[in-house]
Amino acid sequence: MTGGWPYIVAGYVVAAVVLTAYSLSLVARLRKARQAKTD
Amino acid sequence: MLTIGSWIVLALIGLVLISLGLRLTRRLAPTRFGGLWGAVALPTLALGLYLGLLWAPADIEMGNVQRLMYVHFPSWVGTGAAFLTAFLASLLYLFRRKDAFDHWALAGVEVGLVFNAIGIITGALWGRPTWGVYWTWDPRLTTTAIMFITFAAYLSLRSFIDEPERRARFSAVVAIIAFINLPIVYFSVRWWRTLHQPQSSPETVDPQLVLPLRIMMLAFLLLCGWMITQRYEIARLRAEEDRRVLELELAR
Repeated sequence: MTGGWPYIVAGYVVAAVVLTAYSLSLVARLRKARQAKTD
Repeated sequence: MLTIGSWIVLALIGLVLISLGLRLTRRLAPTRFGGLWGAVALPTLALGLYLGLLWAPADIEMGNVQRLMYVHFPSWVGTGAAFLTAFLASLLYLFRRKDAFDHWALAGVEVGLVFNAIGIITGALWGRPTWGVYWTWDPRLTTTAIMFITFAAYLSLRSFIDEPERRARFSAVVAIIAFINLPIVYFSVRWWRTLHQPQSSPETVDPQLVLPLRIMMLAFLLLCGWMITQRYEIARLRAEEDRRVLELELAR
């Protein structure tokens, strides 16, 4: 078997999207929590 | 004689151990500790992606599709590290009853679920071209699905209980029970006849395949550490805010 690039691309893209989305949600939630503390 | 790749791996392991030591002896604040790991994770991830996708040769049997290993296996390392954090924090909570342990447990479970989901999805994408199916009820796959569901139940349980002390106590018990499955997941490929291959030994794998895997494992571990510390901080601040609101209401 020599192919498989569509599966490789799909795997890496899914991982990148999930990790990026979760990281951004953490940054946003942390900012909101800090904002609530200062208000 | 060590190669440059081995020096990079050793330096990263050294950084992980030193910063962990500084954190455990309270010489490094959680957010600084997490920030350090996050800052190192990004270049490590970039290096790992370059090595895994471009530098490493294709596997002799599976071909290029084996490159999914560099994201699939590290996601399980992240899952294990995060759920182990949740397990230890839950045990400590039951013994010490300190809120901080409940925050660490919550952070570990949430982050663990993210990595667990990536592990299942990338595994399915690897399974289709190699086994012919995205999913099968093989012992390894089934136990990982059970692990995801039981830790998702932990988050669901938390949303049903309002009283913080009760919520933390019940959640800790659920996290400990859910963690029992982790060794079963690990040994499932040895205990039962499964479609999933057993663990490979680095001694029997070409060093050019081992190096990108080790770099990606460390990158995911660092990223996992950053995520857990950020999620811990969010939980801590929210608990502080809830206490402040309660005190204000009681003072009225």
